[in-house]
Amino acid sequence: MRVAVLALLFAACEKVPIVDIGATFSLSDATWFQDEETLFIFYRVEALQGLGPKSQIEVTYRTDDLEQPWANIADLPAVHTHLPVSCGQYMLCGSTSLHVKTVPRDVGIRLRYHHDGSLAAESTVTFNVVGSGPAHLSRSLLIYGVFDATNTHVQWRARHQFPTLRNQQVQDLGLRRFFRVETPSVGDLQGQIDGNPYAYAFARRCPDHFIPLGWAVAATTTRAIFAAESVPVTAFDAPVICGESTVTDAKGTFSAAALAQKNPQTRAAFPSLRSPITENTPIGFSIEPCERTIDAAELAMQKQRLQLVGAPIICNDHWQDPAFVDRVVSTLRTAIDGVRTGGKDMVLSLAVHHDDTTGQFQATVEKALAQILPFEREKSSPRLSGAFVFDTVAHLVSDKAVARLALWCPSNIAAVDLDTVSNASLRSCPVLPDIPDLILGPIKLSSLPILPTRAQFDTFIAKYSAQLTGSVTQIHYLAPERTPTSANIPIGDFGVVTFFNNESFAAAATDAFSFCTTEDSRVSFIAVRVADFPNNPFPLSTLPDFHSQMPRDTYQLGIGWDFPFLLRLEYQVVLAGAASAFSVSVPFGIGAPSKGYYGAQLWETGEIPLTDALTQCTRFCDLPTFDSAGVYNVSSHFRSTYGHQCYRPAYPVFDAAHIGEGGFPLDP
Amino acid sequence: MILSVLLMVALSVDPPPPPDDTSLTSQRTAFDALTERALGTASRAVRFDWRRTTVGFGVSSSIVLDLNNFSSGRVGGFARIPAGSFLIELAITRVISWGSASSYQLSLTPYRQYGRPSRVELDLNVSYPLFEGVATAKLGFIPAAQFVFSITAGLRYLYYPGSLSKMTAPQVAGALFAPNLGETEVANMEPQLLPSMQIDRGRYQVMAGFSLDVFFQPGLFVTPRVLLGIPVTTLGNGQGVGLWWELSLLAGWQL
Repeated sequence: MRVAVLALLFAACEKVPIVDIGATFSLSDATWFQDEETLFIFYRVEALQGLGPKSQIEVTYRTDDLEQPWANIADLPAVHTHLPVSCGQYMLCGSTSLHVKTVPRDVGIRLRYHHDGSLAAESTVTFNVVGSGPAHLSRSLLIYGVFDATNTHVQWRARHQFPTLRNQQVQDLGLRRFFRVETPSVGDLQGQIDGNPYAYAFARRCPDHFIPLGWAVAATTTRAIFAAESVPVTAFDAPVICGESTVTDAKGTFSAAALAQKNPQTRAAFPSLRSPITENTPIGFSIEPCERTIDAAELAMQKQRLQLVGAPIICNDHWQDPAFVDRVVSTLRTAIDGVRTGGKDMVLSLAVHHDDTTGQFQATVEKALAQILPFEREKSSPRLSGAFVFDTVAHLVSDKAVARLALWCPSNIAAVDLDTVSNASLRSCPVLPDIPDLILGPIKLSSLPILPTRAQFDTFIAKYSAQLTGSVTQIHYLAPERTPTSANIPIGDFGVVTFFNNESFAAAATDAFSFCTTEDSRVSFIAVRVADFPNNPFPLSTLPDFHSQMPRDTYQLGIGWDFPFLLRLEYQVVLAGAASAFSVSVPFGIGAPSKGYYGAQLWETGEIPLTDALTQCTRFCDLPTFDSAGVYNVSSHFRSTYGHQCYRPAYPVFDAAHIGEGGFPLDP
Repeated sequence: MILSVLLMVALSVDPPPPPDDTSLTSQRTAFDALTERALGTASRAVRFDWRRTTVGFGVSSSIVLDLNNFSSGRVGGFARIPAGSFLIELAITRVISWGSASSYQLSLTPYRQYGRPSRVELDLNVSYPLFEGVATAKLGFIPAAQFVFSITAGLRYLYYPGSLSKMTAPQVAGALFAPNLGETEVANMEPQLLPSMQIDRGRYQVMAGFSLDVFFQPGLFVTPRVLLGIPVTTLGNGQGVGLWWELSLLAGWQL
């Protein structure tokens, strides 16, 4: 205790130490422009603390004519405006511009910690010399123009150009340049701006053939200013506006032509592809033995699932009879034609109950369907959209024509006992809700697919209960309406592209397209065809390349699909449980409403928006573009850049009430 | 024989009842009170029982003996309440800091020294008497007084005006109770720092030392005090002033 007290008292006599603020230059740049006779200085000093108004930046240099000793840059006359800037609490940064007639050397920049002190921290200066040359390469400021979204208002902009610093950095370090643009005129340069993307100083004056607009002078010390006037209607088709720009430098002023290039004129090529989706009328039949009973519980379940209770029956006791197929076809056609008079599209809904394990019976049913479905597919509405077959066992449809048009359930999962099937696996046809496989000690929870095989159904009710197998509450069939002009083009074994109603749009040879992959996956189903290759549709995403290589004047849009209708089941699924204790199992269940979709989700809604997906440029397609951040990309022209990129430009906004306030647009 | 009989008779008689003195109760006075009561003009009371007082108020002035090149002075007010043998004190104090020739010279260099700029301090102190007694002065015009020598401990909260600017309400709420100043607070304080000062980030301090309370009848007191300051959150991490001494003089009235 005594030792601790003594140590505390000794510590209480310890002097407070002094610490170094650790001042270092993170930026120390100097650039001399020969054509402007100007030496630009940029600096940024960082320290742990202690930099403030009493710290000062000093500069020195030598030329063949003079030797500038170390001097506070604030005391040296600046060529341009340099605002005091704040880079942060522990930083000192800024800039200056000095009139230096001949190339300087031994340029030094240092920090004097306190203007009354003698201690200073010197920096390693990055020094560049920009010699005489073309104005757009050898001057420190470029002038160019951009247009607003409507291509009717010009914003004149200045852009700092330094070898080691970016435009925004220079602005952040306080440099402000005065510029003005006067006597703007409108016209077409016809390719005179190659190699000079901003076209700054492409000529001393604007071309004589340009038509003067008579606008007032636009002048500012910020980086941008809108011209107060708007482009006249007579100049809407002219691609550029030329203005005579003037900037100041150490020698006085420098004037040159500056150019404002219009934005690509674009529109949605085909804003929305609509194909009315209607609810189809189910035509239900139960194909079952009439002279014997195979599995009454399962047959009842099949009929319940397809809502076929009381539906007509086609007896299959003698399905090996060669006339069986014709009898089925005749029965179905009669029913179809009867329902057709109601004016609605239809779907066959068949419960198939049998005990054939060879697959011959299913092949027989396939034959019958093959005589009906392909023919109906080509008809205009009202027509038979397809068939939904709920079989006793899993079956893989072998007839390709039937496979395109019939949904054959249940799924082909081989397992009989669903408890052995991982919930992570795909139970394809009988869609299950995402119920995790729960095992809580002696309690195991499972659920029966809403469309099970007979084996799965029987095993399930043996383990749990027939009351826990769930039930279908509603069933809906949705399919697109076909018109008399609708045309189907088969693609591969299962795919079809349908051009429903001559949906098409026109394009000029000089147009350009931009395809954008949107969040709506249905856009990937859109196909395009041209008149001279009607049977060779191609994906919408390839249209930009196709048009640039082989432009056509009309493109027709269709929808690719692999199944003709969407089946929506609303059903009650039961999470069945069995609790085992002392060799006694007690089944119980938790019911939950659910919804399942079978077939093509494409037919869920009848409209596929294409506004964002396909953009058509009709004019000025080879001029620079804005990106979605509002950055003017002078080298990114619509035609060459946006074929497979999303074109979502953000333009400068003209505000008539605040023209003179200028601005600092994002321009890295 | 007759004498023996008389004696036996006398002993067998009941003793007389005690005299009824309740009539004098209102006239009685405790001996302690009598000793402290002035008897004519020959004596007067000198002992001051601060434990029987309710509350006291006063002003304080201090000089902070930081072991750096900056100086600080404190002026404030306080209230204190006896609680059994303890004396609990709440104080608010304005602290003014200023530099020196040395700190100015240091500001011309790239070096800085930890210190604390002007601020407001809130104190909660507790004193416990170690010695007590009555003393008389040699000089006749100074009255006799009650001396109480106590050990004193306290917790101090530092508030720097302006440090919470540019902060949102939730940030302010968090900063008020944080043990150290945050980056925003330090940045806010930067313009207020004395030349060459680097701010000590501690917001709480523990004080320990001794007080000598000198009580005069009927309640005036004067208290010289010496305290050792311990910055609990910055001690040992090299980011603060370290330990320092503080000399105070308090004066007030105990009611």
